[in-house]
Amino acid sequence: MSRPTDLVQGTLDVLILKILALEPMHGWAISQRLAQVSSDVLRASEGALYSALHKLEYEGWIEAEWAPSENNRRAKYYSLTRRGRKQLERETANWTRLSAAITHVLQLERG
Amino acid sequence: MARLAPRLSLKLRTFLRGDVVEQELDEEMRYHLDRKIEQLLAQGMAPGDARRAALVAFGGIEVGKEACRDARGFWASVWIERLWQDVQHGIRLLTKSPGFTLIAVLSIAIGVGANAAMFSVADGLIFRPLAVPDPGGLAVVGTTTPIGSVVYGGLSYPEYRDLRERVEGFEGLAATRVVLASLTRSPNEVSQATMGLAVSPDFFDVLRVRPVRGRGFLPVEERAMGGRTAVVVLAHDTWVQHFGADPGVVNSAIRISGVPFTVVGIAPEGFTGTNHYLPSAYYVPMATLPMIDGQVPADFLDRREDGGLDAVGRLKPGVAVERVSERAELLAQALRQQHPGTYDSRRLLVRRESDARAEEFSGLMAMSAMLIGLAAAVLLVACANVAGLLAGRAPARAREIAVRVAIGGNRLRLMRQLITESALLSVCGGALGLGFAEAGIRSFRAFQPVSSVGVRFDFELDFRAVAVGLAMAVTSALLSAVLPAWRITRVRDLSGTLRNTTTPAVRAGRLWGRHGMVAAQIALTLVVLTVALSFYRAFHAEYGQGPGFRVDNVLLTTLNPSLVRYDDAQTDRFYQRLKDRALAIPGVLSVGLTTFVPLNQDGNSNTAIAPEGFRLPTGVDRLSVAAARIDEGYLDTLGIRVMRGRGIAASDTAETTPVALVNQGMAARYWPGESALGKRLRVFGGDGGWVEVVGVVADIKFRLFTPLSTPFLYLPRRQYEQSRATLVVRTRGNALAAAEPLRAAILDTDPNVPTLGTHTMAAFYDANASNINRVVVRTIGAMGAMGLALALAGLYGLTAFAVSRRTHEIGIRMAVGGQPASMLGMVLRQGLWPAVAGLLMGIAASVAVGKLISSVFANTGADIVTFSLVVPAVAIVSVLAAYVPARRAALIDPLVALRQD
Repeated sequence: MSRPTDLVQGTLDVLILKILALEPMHGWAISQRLAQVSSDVLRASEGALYSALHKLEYEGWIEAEWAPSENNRRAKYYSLTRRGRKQLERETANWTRLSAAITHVLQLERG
Repeated sequence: MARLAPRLSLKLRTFLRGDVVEQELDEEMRYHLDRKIEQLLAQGMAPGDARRAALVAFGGIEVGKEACRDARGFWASVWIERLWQDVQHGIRLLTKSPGFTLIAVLSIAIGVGANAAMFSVADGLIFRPLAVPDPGGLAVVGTTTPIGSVVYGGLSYPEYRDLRERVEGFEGLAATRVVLASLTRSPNEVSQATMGLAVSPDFFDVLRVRPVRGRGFLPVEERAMGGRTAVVVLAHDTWVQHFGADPGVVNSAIRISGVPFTVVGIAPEGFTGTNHYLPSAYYVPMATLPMIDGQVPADFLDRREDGGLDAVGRLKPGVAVERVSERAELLAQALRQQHPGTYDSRRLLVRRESDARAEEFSGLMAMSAMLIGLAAAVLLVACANVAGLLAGRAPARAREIAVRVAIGGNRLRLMRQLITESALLSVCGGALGLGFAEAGIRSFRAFQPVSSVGVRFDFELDFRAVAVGLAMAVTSALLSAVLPAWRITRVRDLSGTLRNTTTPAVRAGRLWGRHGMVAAQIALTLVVLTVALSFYRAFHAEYGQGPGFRVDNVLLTTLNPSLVRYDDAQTDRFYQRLKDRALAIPGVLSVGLTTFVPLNQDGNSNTAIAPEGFRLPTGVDRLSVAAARIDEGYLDTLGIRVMRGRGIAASDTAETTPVALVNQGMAARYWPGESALGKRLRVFGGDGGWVEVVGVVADIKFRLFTPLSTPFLYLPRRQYEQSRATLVVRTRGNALAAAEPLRAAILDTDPNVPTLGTHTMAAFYDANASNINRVVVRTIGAMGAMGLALALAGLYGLTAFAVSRRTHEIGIRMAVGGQPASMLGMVLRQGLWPAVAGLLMGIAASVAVGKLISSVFANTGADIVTFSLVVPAVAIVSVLAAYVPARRAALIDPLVALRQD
């Protein structure tokens, strides 16, 4: 769980949780929203995205439901669970702390 | 817990509805892909390019799916799919080296099969508990005989009552006594005697057996109350076989020994009473015994000196059987003072039922232990073999595995594949082993004594034994396949394995292990073969020169006129008339009567005697010898020669001087160096007077595993009347031809006298002597052969493995001028030293085992002749097993060998 390689994976997880915190969405919409809100800076490969979605579902942070999509096809909609919301809070706090610390360190080096 | 629930349901769903999950996964991916294509098309891309670009962006649908599957955890539907892949891969690999697979599977099959068969046989012979709930809580009461030996049973009814009322520790104590009586539905049916049990009313309660129909016995049925106690519970088999499973039998009347009884219940299926070997056909209250057995006095329930009862009790939970036994002994002391004379030196003891059975049938117990021991040895050899074979392959596979790890193969996955492979071997071997076991058990079903009262052995394949054998095989296969594989898959070893162009070096310790294993295999094989051969020789010595009496053209019929309540005079008249009628049958040469047929296995034929002038051990006033009560025609009919003096004469009757004949062995034992003629001996059980020896007859084989010269006593049946007797008829041609006329003669003499079975002496001898001989020798011999074959395969494998590992080295040696002969010697030496070590260990172990066995079965220890046959045989075979691959080494073409790899 705490391997350093999890950092990128973990980041994607938080981003997905955050996007789903706004409204339930299917995989395609999530990928579009991710590209859009990060101004194309963050782009996850489709494989990694779906793998992360299934992992989050497995962890019980999000749940899935089949519903008709905007183009009238059946799509799998993911939504945040109560435990997912808590996880998001935890991760957000962690991230804020971590980025503050890194920013602090980087500023130290400059000075 | 809260965390677990959604995961579990997801996993469960994935596992149970794998097809649906796969479908959904597919749909989800397809949806994404379609939207991507739409997007690209909207950007102006050509349809074909859009599709290709979308797929590329996705990184392949299958990869995506695989990642999702992985995210769902290890035991999703994927698990089964991968297992199937592993199985397919395993099958491919195993079929690629059929020799290896065949030997490994056969080894496991033989080991598991031999073990399961032998355990099942031992279970049927001795270990299987009685078919009652909680058989472990049962205990039986034993007494000591005047000779000092312990018998289980032999109680009188008052003694049983005293035990039940005055000994603490039993939840309940029931009394039983074997009855032999005819069972018919109507008075004019032909009667055939069947075995039943007369029991105390609490019998079914103590055994916790509930009749499946009707009821058991009531407490009031302990005492005869007119005809009201004439009730019977039928065994399930009897109900089905004699009464066609007719439910209307309950509350109807049947006849036992011609006396009407009311059927009140049917015992459950599989319940055989208190004895496996003698299943009871019916159960009657003890009080009815005098009504159906003419030899039981009417007041026997109150007669302290009348024995013959067995007592089986259920111990209270937590009560030690030793405590109860002590209390029974205290009771015996009290009884000794209360009833002086009756209880001199008589003791009472209580043992667990299973212990008593093992003690009572110590011969069967010893045989069972030996068979299991041999089978365990075979299983060990088999496991060693499989381990050796797999370990031999491990280095060869090391590179394959290392390469797969290096290109990113999942280590766990690789391990799983190796485990699947070993499991495949084990499952195939186990399945084949089941077949072997069933075949072995079938051959043992022939091991049935011919008996007049329905003694039978019941052999069933025991699945616990199969499971144990299989577990051992799987464990050895796993350990030997997985341990090396685990080492190989560790990254640290990877570079070494890959860099090495030939197969990786095997550490010296490992080779030592393999050599040690082969040596142990050969040692064990030698032990098994030695035991097998010495048994064969012992049997051969026993039966090689025949039993000493006539076997061919003799017919046996056992009768018991006491079952129709004949008195002594009536019995004598009945037999005389029957003999006259039998002699009148065409082809009948002579007839005789005896109470004991040689090699008979049921019934106690022993008689207590005290030979005149022979010094008995201190504290003992009598000896027990095997005896038969015979008439004047018996010795002649069976061709047993009178060596000195005379035989039994028709004039030896109750009115004349009591006489006896002894065999040569008995004469030599009690009157060594003197003539036995005219000597006297006291025979207990009758009037206790002196009996004069008037003749010495030839020794015959009368019991299995006993020397010919074991003392045997013949008494004239008219002086020691016993109702039950076997009519021995000698015919001119095929004895069976006389069977039908003889039956007619019996019916003609008195249709009510039940026969206890008719068979030829040849069949009887075959079943009770040569058949056992054949089955046991064949079984042990087969195990010896299996052991040898397995050890051979092991040695061959070892040498072949060594050769394959050293091909490169041998090639170099040959290239620099090594001679084929010296190469042959080098490889052969390496293969043979474990064989030599194994032979030496085996000889030492065989001597030890031989001593153990000869302490149980006389004349069966390993001797010099056995060794001089077995040791060279194993040695020659070992040399051959090592020679074949060694020769291959000597023929190696250095050019080919060096180019290898």
